[in-house]
Amino acid sequence: MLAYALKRIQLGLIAILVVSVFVFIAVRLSGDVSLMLVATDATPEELATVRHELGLDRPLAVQYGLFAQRVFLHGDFGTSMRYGVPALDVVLGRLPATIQLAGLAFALALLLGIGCGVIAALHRDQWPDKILRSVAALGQSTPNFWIGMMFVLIFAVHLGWFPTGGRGSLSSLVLPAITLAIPSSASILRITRSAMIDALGSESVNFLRVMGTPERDIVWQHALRNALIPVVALAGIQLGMLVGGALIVEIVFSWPGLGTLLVDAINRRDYSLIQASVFVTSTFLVFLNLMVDLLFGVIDPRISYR
Amino acid sequence: MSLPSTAKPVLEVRELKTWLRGHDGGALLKVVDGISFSLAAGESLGIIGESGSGKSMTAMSLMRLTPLDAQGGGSVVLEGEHLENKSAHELRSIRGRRIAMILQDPMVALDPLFSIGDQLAAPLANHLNLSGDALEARMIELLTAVGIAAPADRLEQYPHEMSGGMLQRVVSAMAISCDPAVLIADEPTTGLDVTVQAQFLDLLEDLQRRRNLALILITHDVGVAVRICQRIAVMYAGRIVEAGPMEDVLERPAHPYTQLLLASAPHMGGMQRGSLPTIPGTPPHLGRLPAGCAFAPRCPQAFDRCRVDTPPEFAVSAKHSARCWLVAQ
Amino acid sequence: MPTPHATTTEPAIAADAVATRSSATRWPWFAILLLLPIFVFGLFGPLLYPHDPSAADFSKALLPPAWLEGGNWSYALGTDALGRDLVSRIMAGARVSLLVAAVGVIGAGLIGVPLGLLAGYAGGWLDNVIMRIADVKMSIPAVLLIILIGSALGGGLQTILIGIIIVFWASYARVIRGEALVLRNRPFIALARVANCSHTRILLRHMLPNVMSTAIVLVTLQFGPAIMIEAGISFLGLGIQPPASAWGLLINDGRAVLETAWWLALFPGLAVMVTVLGANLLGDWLSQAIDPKRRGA
Repeated sequence: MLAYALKRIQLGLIAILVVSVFVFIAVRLSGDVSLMLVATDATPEELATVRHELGLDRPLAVQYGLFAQRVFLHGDFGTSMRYGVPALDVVLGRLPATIQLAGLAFALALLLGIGCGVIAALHRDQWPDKILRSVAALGQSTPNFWIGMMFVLIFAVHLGWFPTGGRGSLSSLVLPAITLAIPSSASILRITRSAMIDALGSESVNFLRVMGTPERDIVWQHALRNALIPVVALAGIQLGMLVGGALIVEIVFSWPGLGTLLVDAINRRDYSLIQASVFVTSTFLVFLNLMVDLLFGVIDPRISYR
Repeated sequence: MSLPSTAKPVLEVRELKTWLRGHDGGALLKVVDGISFSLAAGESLGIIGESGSGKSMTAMSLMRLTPLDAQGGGSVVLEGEHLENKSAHELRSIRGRRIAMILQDPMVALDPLFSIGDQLAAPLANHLNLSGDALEARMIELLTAVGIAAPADRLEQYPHEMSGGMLQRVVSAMAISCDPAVLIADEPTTGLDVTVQAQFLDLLEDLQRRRNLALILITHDVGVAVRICQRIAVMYAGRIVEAGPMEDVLERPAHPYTQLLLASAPHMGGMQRGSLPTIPGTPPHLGRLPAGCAFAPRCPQAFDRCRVDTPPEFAVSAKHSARCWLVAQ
Repeated sequence: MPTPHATTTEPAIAADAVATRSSATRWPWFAILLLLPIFVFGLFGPLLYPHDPSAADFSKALLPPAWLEGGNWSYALGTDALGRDLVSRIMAGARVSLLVAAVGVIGAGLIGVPLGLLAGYAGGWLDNVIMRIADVKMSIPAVLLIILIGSALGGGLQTILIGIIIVFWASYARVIRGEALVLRNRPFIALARVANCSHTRILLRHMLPNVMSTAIVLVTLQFGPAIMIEAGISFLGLGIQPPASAWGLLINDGRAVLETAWWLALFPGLAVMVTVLGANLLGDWLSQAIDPKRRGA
């Protein structure tokens, strides 16, 4: 188990490193930052001075080295142009809102997806299954930001049950979370369904029946637990998509999280903020994936022995 | 076909039928087509046949575990009770308790996510309501009875940590855990190494004797059945075509299919002839059975009547019978 | 006569006796029906527009759909704030989406399939490197990745195309690599090696044709997600730029006037849904249709 955990951690660290390289390259490609920091009528000497100060006249590898040092050792992404405070602080300030939204959506997606997936598997090819599969297909095919807008239109504007946006009371969390959860729960539903069908048809379930085990134990203890293995694998991938989806959904609901921050930063070309946001989000995701991998090791006793 | 037995039977099967729908709801497959036999405590019956002969489905039908859309009929009387009238709930309390089964591949039959102890405890808890120390004591006793050393340690282990032979012993322990009257072993040695097979068969025989079990051993390997079974039934295309005491059938096989089976078995003398003779042709498609005797197309001794009329059971001797027109002559 | 077992028999292993095939028909009519509009508009677009999608006419601004009060059947689904016909804009958007998604997934395939083949065939460090890169890429959410690319390249067509290629290549590589690993051990490859075929020749003449059917299935399966991502990125303003029409852009335009001119957001969204649903269904059908054939081979 320990060896497995260490290996996953190692992979995670490499991933973070690579992300930092991506972020570095992306910003460098976007243009000469120094031009933005000086007046438009600056002389070439003034420009050169600024460039020297920023270290832009050094080789790329050295620049990355400096960048990596700043980022990993000091958490220094520079100062946000818009807010005037260190970018990292701004990002960390907004992170909880996104975590709250994505976390709730993830829980919803798991609950709905696994629950409905099991129901669909138990009633295979009958009408509950057919309805659930159709709904799941629709859920995977509809852009979640559009669903969000329709929800706002129907439930907030016309029915007035929920606020149209912003983060405040508990009810402001409902629509965005459900919106975000829909595509993920559709994928989870499909995979739970097929994994359950496989598990219910397996030899070990056959043997349990031979031994006279009560059907409910067979379904909820044995079949479900075996079926959860591929589901957990998918859930890990879904987390990434959820966080990505959150970025877009936040905009629809004016949710003050990383998504709205990032889009705003891009429009204003606030590079420190962009860098910090992307970096923090990716690191967070790598961490989550690591948790999922470790969870795997706990659920399936075979894995620790690889 | 009835196999009379001497003592009061623990299991009586009459005209058991299980018919399945083929893929896409096509032809009706008569997988089990009128099986009858009876078995007393302490008796062992070997059911042999090629794959597709309906042996495993017979076992499943005995346990009342056929697919939802199967049709069937006949009666199965276990310790005096008719199983075909029982509710699903009642059947669940009978399975694993009064009639138990060992499957072919223990690595696949056991759940990889649960420890040996958890899985062994399940029938004991479900059927006998054991728990705590009594449960643990019983589990250790069972594992010892099937010849597993250091049983207490094994309880914590997982299936993938144990060998096939050992797992099959665990499965056997689970099967006998509630002291069933009947034990069905469906190809129990097929998934095991040759060296381990003999040991396992010894174990089965030992368990059967000590607990006075009625044992049904299903296999395609004649040598396996010969080793521990007192009686033998040969299945072909869903029917028993020959049955009787083991020595009788071995010495004077009446049905041509039995003769060919015995000749082609490696342990039985096929080796002595230099090369393994095989039975020509393939088993019939169960949805398109020929008129007359199902074996006629492959039978070296078939004559005209065989292709027209299905032969009924004929007595070869007091307890030995075969479904063949040859016997009638 | 045999009596049904149903009342006393447990539902046992469904596998063999009960038909396992779901409603896989010979042709996926429903999916084709859904996809037909996008292909028709995509190919024949400009010939079919009722109005010029970019023509502004302020006298016709913010007309509701034709069946409502104040609507006009010439502008069947309504108009936007500049008086542009929504039907025409949706049709124009179909063209863009089709182009972007098709070029994107094919481009991703052109990169992913060879890489996957190489990784599976060569093994060793090459396999490791390629798969590690794929792993890392997959740990970054697609949206984030494209935002990053967008911030580097600015918005526009090239961003979205490059973005789709970078996001999607890894799934091709993964799957094709798996196939290559299996193929590599097949006798006919060993024979080719014995016959002193060069690696390139083996890859091109023997391995590639065998993975083609899987590759095609993958392309179809990725098509729907590609359209979704394009819509999302255009919605953010990072993809197709105005005055071109893209469904994501249209939905974003609709956001500002959601309460009053709800049709501007509704119908483009429906268009996306219909198209992606059709593409997904088609992909599912295709993977089911091709799979059993391969297994039988």
